Amino acid sequence: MPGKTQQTFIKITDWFLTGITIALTGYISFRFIMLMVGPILGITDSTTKLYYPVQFEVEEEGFAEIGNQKLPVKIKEAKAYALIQAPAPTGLLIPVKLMRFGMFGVIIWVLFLLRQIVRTVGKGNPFVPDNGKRLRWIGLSILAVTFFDFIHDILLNLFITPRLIFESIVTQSTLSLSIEDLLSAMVIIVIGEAFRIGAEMKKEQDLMI
Amino acid sequence: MQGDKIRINLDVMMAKRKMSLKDLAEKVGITMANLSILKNGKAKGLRFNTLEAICRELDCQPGDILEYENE
Repeated sequence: MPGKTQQTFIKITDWFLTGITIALTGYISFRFIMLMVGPILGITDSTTKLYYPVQFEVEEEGFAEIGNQKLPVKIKEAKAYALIQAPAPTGLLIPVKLMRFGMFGVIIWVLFLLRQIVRTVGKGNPFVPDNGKRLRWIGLSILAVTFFDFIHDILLNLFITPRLIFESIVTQSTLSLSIEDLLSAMVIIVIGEAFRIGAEMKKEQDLMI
Repeated sequence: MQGDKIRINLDVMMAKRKMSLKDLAEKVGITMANLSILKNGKAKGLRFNTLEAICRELDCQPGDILEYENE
């Protein structure tokens, strides 16, 4: 069993993860309900408005002060949040927005799995095959979120960004697939598999008299 | 082969020698829980030194404890 300090640390981590899970679930549920019910009820506060990140090409020059030095700075790209109020292109926005909610759902699922792993650590027996499976699910979830994000970007750039018209600003479609996220997911999946095999070996070893 | 198994006849030898689980565990130097796992056939393996100690304490041969069973 872990020592007293470790137990306290594990308890705090557990509470922290539980807190984040509850807060995120509450927030996402509220946003989801407002998105679905808001326009029907005529609620037009910020919760029903749809913001979308849009990448812009800009040509701005300025200076940045670092210590006593003034350095010339060029801004070439900027990210803005476009506010699109219902009922404008709602038909297209709803599925894209729903994908975002799906991604948050996956994040909540990952937090739940992480909390279960922390609890086994608290019980002093984290080397169980279930934790290997949990790690594999965490890796697969990160992979899913990365691909969701990529598809979300594609939909956004194909259907929404071209509809946005601004004076003197050129909207630029950008696609990005996070290599770091893909790599982390792969690493977690491999570690999970190694963990699962290790846990099975430990189980066998425990039954060696 | 599936269906084949090694049967542990520890309870038979213990009864013959009139030795309790607690006494044997103490003499062999393993916990009662582990000896119980072994006695009930739940163990995945048996170390040579454990087998030696059991044979010494029960004054028997490994064949008296282990039996190959073909189902």
